[in-house]
This record gives sequence, C-alpha cells and structure tokens, in this order.
Amino acid sequence: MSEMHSAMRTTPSSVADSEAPMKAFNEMVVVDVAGSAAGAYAGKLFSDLGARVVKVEPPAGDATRWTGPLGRRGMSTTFEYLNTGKSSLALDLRSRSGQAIFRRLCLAADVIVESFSPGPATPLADELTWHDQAVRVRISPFGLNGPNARWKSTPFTDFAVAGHMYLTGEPDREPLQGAPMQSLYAAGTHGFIGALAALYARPSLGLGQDIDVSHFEVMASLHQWTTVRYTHGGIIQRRVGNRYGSLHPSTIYRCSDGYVAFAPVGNEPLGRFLAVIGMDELLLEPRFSTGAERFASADAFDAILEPWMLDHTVNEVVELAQAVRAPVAPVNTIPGLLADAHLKERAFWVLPEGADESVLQPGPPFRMSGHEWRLRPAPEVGQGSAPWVEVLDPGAHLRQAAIVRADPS
Amino acid sequence: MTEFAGGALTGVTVLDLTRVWAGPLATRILGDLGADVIKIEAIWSRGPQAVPEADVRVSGRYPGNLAGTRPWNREGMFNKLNRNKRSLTLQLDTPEGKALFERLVVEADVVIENYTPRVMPQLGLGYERLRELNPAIVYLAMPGYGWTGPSRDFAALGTTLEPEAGLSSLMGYRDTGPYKSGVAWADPVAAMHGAAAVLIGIIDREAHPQRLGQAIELAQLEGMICFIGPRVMDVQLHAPAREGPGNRHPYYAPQGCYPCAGDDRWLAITVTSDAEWVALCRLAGFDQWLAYLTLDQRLTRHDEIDAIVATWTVTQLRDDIEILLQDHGVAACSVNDARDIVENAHLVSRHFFAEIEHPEAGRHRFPGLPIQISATPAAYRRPAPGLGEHNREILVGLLGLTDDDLARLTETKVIAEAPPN
Repeated sequence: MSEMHSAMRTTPSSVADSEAPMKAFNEMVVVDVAGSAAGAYAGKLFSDLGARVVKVEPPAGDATRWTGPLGRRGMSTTFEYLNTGKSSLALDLRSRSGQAIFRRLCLAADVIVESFSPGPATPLADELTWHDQAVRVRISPFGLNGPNARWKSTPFTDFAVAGHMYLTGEPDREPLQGAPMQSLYAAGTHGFIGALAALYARPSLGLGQDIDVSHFEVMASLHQWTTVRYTHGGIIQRRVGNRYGSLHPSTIYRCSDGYVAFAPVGNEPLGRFLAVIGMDELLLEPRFSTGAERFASADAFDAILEPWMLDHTVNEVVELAQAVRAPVAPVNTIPGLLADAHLKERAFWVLPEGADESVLQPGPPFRMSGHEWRLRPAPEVGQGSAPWVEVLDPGAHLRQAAIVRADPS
Repeated sequence: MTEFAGGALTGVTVLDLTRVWAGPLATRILGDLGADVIKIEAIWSRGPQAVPEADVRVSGRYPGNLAGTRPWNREGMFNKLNRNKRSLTLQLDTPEGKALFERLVVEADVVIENYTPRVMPQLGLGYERLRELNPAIVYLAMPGYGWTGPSRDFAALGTTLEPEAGLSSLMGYRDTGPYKSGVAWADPVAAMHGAAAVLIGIIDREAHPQRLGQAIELAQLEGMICFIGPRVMDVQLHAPAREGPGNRHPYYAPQGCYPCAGDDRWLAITVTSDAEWVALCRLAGFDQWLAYLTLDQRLTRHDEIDAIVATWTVTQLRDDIEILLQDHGVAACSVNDARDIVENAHLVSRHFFAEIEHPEAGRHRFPGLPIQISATPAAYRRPAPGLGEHNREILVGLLGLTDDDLARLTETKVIAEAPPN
C-alpha cells in the first residue's frame, strides 16, 4: 500500500461531509486485473452475485485461457470457471494509450482487483488505479511488504510454507500436498471479504481503502489447533496419516466398494454406531474408553473395525451411521460427486445461461433469499466490452492501433 | 459523518449461536473487522467443570498444560476463535431464555447459527419468527448439507465434508488411496463464505429502500465443492487420473517435497520454467546435461529427477537453500511446522499475529486477520470472553433487567458463569 495515498485518505479535507448512499451490488463496477486464480475467484464471486465485472487482459488474451485441460469452448476449464459472467476488455497496458484508457476505466470502478502469482507483487502504478472512492484489492503470495515479499510461490509451496503440508500424509513418509489451488481460492475469498468490508464502510468513511491479502497469511490463519498446541502446550503437531488430531476414530476406512470418512470421535455417537453393528462392548475396554485412549491404541481399534468395514458397502455404512446420527460420509470421487442424489435434488449443478454446451459447474457457495446468483458464460477475448469501448475509445483510433481489441460478438 | 474509531463493521451487532470451528471462525472474521459479536452460549457448551488431567496433556491446548480451577475459560482453541466477542449464556430451550434472545434479535443486525436444519424451527426461532421480530435481520444458517435434499438432517463435520466434496480423491501418495488434509479444511472454507455472505446481506440491506434483511442458507458441502470447480468440469470432458497425484503437478516439473538435513525437515519446490530449472541445477552443482532437460523430459523422468534433487537437498539446511533458491527466482518454501509459523520473521514483520493477554489464560500469540485493510485495520480489542462474562453488561445494560432478574435467571439455570456440576 502506498503510504502517501493512505495518508491522503485520512486527511479531513478528503472526508465526505454527508453520508453517501450505499451502492447496490448490481450498480457496482469491478475491474479485474487478476494475474492468478486468487484475484479471478474474487472477481467471479462479484460477477456471479450481480456486479459488473470487467476483466482486463492483453489483446492476445490472458495466458490462463490456455493453461490446463481445455473445455468445449477451447478455453481452459480453469479460465471458464473463474471468469463466469465477466466482460473482457482486451487492452495493451504496455502502451501509453492503453494505460490512459485503463485509467479512465478505473475512475469508474468501485473495486479494482489485482493478483500476482507465482511471482512477487508488483502492483500497477498508483496513478493508474487510485481515486479516493476506489477499493483496491491486491492479492499476492507473501504480501506487499516484509522480508519475503519478493518470493515466488505456487499453491504447492503455499501449502508448505503456511504449515499445512507438514500435517498432511503419513508420519514416516514425505509430507503431502492438498487438493489443487486451495491457497488461491482461500486468498481470493479473503480478498472478496476485505473488499465487501471496505464497500460497507465507504458511505460512512467517505473513502475507499487498499486491501493487502497474502496467500501465506490466509493459509496460516486457517489452522484448527496447530499453533495453539504449540503456544499453549509446547506440542508440535505432526502428520498422523488419515487419522486426526489426538482423538480416534476420525479417519478414512476402506469398504467393499470404496472409502468412507468416519468421524464419530465422541463416545456417544461412536457408542450408538457400535451398538448398531453389535460391537459396543469395545468401549468397555480401557484402551478404547475415550477418544484419546483410542488414538493411542488406534491400530488395534482399526484392526477390529476394518474387517467389518470391508464386508460392507459405502452406502450401507453411511446409512447405518447416519440413522443413529453418527457423522460418516462417502469419500467421493468426482464422478461419484456428480451422481450424488442430495446435490441433484438440490439442483446444485448448473449450466451457464445460454451456453450451447453441456459441462456442469458448481452452483452458488451460499443461497440468499434476497439476492440473485447467476452463472453466465466466461467471455471470449474482448467479449462484452462494447459498451466500455464506446465510451473509452469514441473515435475507434485505439481499436485500429490494436491497443483495444474489438468485441467479437 | 460517522466517527470511525473502529473497524469497517463498527456498529454492526451479530448474535452468534455457532459452535465448534466453521461458525466461530466466520464470526471472528466479522469481529476482527469491527462488528460487535455477542456469543450466545448454553451453560454447558464449554464442557464440564473439570477436565481429566490426561486429556489436558494430550490435547496440548491449555496454557502450560494446566487446566486451572476454571478450565472452561482457558482452552486455547476456544480462546483463539472467540476474541473480539462478548459472552452471554442463555438456555434457548427455556421460555425465559428464548424470550431474552428474541429481545436481542430486535436490537441486532445479524444472527448466525450452524445447527442442523431442525434445531432453530424446533426452538421456535426459524427465519419466519426472526423476520417477524426484526424485518432488517440478516440470518445466516450454516448447516452441513442445506435445508433440503435427502441428506439434510445428516450429521457432518469438516473431516467428513472435505472427503465427501471430492477433495480427498484429488489427494494421496502415488501408491495409496485418498487422503484428508491435516486440518478439517471444509470448516474454514465455510467460515470465509459465511463471512462474505453476511457482508453481502448487510450491504443489500443498506442499499434497499425498505432496509430489509434476508435469509442465507450456506450448505457447507456445496461451498467446499466451489473450491474445486475446474476439476469437476474436467471429469465431464476427460477421464480422471487413476493414481494419486503424490506431490506432482500436471504441467510443472519437477515439483516435490525434498528431504533436508535434520529430523523431518523438508523443502517444497515447484519449478515453473526452464530458466528456474537451469538456476536450480547450477546452484545444486548438478551435471550440465540435467539443466538441458525440457519440460516434457522432466515430466517423463520425474522419478529420476526427484532422486537426484534429493541427493543435494538432504545434505543442506532447509532454511539455507530456501533462501538460496528464492534469491534465484525458484519457488521453494520450507515445509513449516507450528513453531516455524509462530516464529516466522516475515509474518512478525507484517504484524500478522494477534498478541492477546487473557486474564485467565495469559498472553499468547494467535494468527491474526489475514486482511490488511488500510483505513480501518483489524483491531484486537478484547480477549475471548469468559463463560457468561457479559451477562450483566448485556442483560442489565442493554435489555434493562434488574439484579433480582439476574439472580433468578442464575437460580433457574438460564444463565451461568460456570458450567453446571
């Protein structure tokens, strides 16, 4: 964050005299200059929830359009997912004219989202993006300052540096990575939260704000008890395979046709489940009498339960357990997830509006009774920019000079 | 103009009925941003009066591994998640407790709960009732599976939702089945989506001509799936990979977790370009032919390359080669443990940690709000509350009850400052 501008924003002369009205979501303009999935996901959340999001990309198109497996429209599934409903403004930011257009666009923006990955954070020049009502979100691997601000990261190294990898995998093997891109989604969502907080405060404050979010800090803040066990009890938590914390059974068991996630660690839900399968006497044995005792004797406990599990299907185990309110769920493959009856009945999977293709995408992360969520297709390069281009390049000179690429639609 | 002494959400009152992790983290984010969060707790919600000494030692979550005379106020996980909140005990299943809660709903902006869908209607506190009391209320429910569908009443935890959402199938060694992450990852994901949803709700309300609130249904399973969207699309287009990914990346190579000198010390490296690979080979002193391997060759010969990289890293100190590689533009990071995080110089220099003095648990360093917001920064205004610490402040100060009322509520066990015996 620029110290000069943060100082400017707190001087009384720039504070509004009266409260401005709160802008509705569908009146908000968001400029998305995300270089990573983190900023793109923040922009997607704004877009699917109704804000006008303009994705600024080079005239040849953002490199992430072709990175990874391609979808039916010839763009990567990652790009397609992360840019739903945005319009694309294809603009050469290296040219002076391109920068002048971008500056005018930012003056109209409520929110400007930048993200940097895997390289260090080099924010766009202040004079391009700044105005006193702008909420500027910068999402980067290590943040905008500090000794390691210039370091590179990937989701893999984010998972390591923030303490999650050390906890994942077998104790006698190398630590293991998490699911793909999780640090980027988490950082993007935190950027979104920061932007919303600044937008909420803006009418009273009379000013926008700068938001600095790092993958490292976001992931380091999302531990359950890892740092607490160290600061309070001097314990350095290690990875414990598919077991969990210091209680058992919270684990994954193999069944006859797949795996279940099994987590009734308390004596009450576990006792109810064991009673159903006729093994409740196990809890009378001192070595299995509490969650902590069972953790200490977890191999012996599992040796008794595993043969029963292998004799039953995933569905049988889940049904028996949930009938007595024991938290047990299938370990879904992605095809299994797409076939899940609960999600189908809730119509969770959706196709983008008006898309002439059939690839389903996840629905909303939450459902609001008074706020519309829509999934619209990701844009082709320049698609949807016509209204912006008419205003920003009235003589069409920059289109001719290939600084702005025309809307293909 | 409003005076902005506090955070961005100064003046927003949140009634927090949540338990465990996802809900309390959602409300902590709101509290760190300046909201007044009133945590409403059942008198038994923090467990029994006494904790067995063995459990204290195994958990490692009590200061100095000592339960103390009031262990319910000393547990570190609770104290981490509940800073910036006030505590009001209230038995919602008693007529008096429910009536007091309803009076608070009239005064509040937001109600958040993470029960299964049956609980609030059973208490007579479903959204219809809350809206009747206060049409401006923003109500967030965070059930595992949502309000509808065949699994709606199923019990769920973060440790079951992460595998159910498909994430575990994308994890695992190359020769094993699925793995869970080391934290119950679905919980914090639900927390961040929940905090975002509440913010949208209060922005909508301020922009709405009648200032109406709304109900938000956050099915934790669904929010978790939103974090693997492209993988769900890929499977519909291409056959899924059949083996666990181990520590590999589909199109960066090498990527791996390499052993370093010392006990259980590892360095995570992703090489994202030929130039980075050349730099790594030069720094490690590898034979020249290695540096000429193309990305395709590195992907094909990944096992061989891993073995060679490990022969170098295992002779080196993790933190030394982390800096060396980063100085030369290679994404290399230590596989940090809890102590590495708590003592990390970069995090300290950015004032990431919340250093909080708790009257019954002492001073500790907790992770802070990972959102630096320029004009309204996060403030750590108060430590986690003791059980019922703000009963008087809220019931007498806000609702106008008398000392006699408090005595009677304590007598009938509607409120308390210690768990029942």
